[in-house]
Amino acid sequence: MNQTIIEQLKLQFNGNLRTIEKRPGIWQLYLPYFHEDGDMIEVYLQQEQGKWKISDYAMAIMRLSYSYEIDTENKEKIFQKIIAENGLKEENGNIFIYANDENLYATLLHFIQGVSKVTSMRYFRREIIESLFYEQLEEYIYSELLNYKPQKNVTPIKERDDLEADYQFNPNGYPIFLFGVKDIPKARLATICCLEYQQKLQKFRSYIVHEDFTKLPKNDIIRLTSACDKQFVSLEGFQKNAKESLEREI
Amino acid sequence: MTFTDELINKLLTCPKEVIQPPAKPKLERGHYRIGFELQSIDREFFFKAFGRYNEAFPENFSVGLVYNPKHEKGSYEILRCNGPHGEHEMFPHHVYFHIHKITTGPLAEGLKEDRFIEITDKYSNFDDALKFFVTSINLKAEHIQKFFPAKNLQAEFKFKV
Repeated sequence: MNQTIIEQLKLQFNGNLRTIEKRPGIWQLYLPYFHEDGDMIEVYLQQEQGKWKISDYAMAIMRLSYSYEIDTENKEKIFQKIIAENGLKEENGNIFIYANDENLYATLLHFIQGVSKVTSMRYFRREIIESLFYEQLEEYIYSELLNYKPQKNVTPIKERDDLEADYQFNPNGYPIFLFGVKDIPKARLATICCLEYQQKLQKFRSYIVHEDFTKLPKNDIIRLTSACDKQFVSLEGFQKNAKESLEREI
Repeated sequence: MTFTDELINKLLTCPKEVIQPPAKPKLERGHYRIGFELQSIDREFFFKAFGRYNEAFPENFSVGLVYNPKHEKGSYEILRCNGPHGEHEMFPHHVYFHIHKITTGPLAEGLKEDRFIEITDKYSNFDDALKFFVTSINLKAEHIQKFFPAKNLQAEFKFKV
């Protein structure tokens, strides 16, 4: 590799650059940019048709595949969007970009940023996205159902602060208590709350919004169905039908 | 999910068996890959394992063990045997074959579970790393011979947590 370019890059990276010739004509740059596990981001440099080709030789996709696969049309679309919007190219897993002598430093930074975004796709894992259920429920309630005067984290039985409802609506004379349910423990807590409310409160209605109704065991579904007044089998279903249901309560 | 040293040690060293065997390595988007599934012999723990090596630079490889808790969502990278693909924050200015291991320290700080690495000379290519891996995670001998049919595999390494 051109020694002048190396010296120039070293200066620009404040001395934080080492290079090795990985294969004839292909140089790996050791730069202080790291993945979350502490491994350095792989950056390779070679000359191609009078330009510098910066690439990762498919290491980002390989790394991503330890915990996340780009195996659906949607995931592929997001991946291609990251590539395109960051001015990168991808061929057979290899992410790359071209630069010239003048913009090599800036393009290297740009490349590393783009590769980081690709490897960050692991945060789209189902279990992480699913954990957003409660946030999404809240966001919907406070953006679309304000007319029904939502209150968060209410304790309908004053002396029992362990029997908290996620939300209360007041569309008419009696309260509607709503529980978001995304797992077994929450389903059981909602069941207990509804049964206790029946013992202590005179008039109320109870709504359940499931993250995914089909994931609950049969017995939990039976118990919850017996205890509550209305269930929405998914957040999407709630978003579609909540207003209509609340209107019927008026 | 709360990890303790005791649980980590158990996950790494519990006797394991293959429940979904590996197929032949498949080339996909610039890297070769295999995958297989394991469980502890007492069926308490469930794992996925993967092997990857780069098409252009086969010395850039990974063989890893991922723990999938039975009653909770999520997965955790317990162990990963890597080739010398680049530097690591723990050992700047050097490039080694190294092993990522889950430890309680990074988890307590909210960091990625497998940030800790140790340098190794127990393997020097993907095949040897795979052999080392299946032995060191305590895969039962019959399954090592059946699914990873290399000769004379020996348990050369015991994990110390």
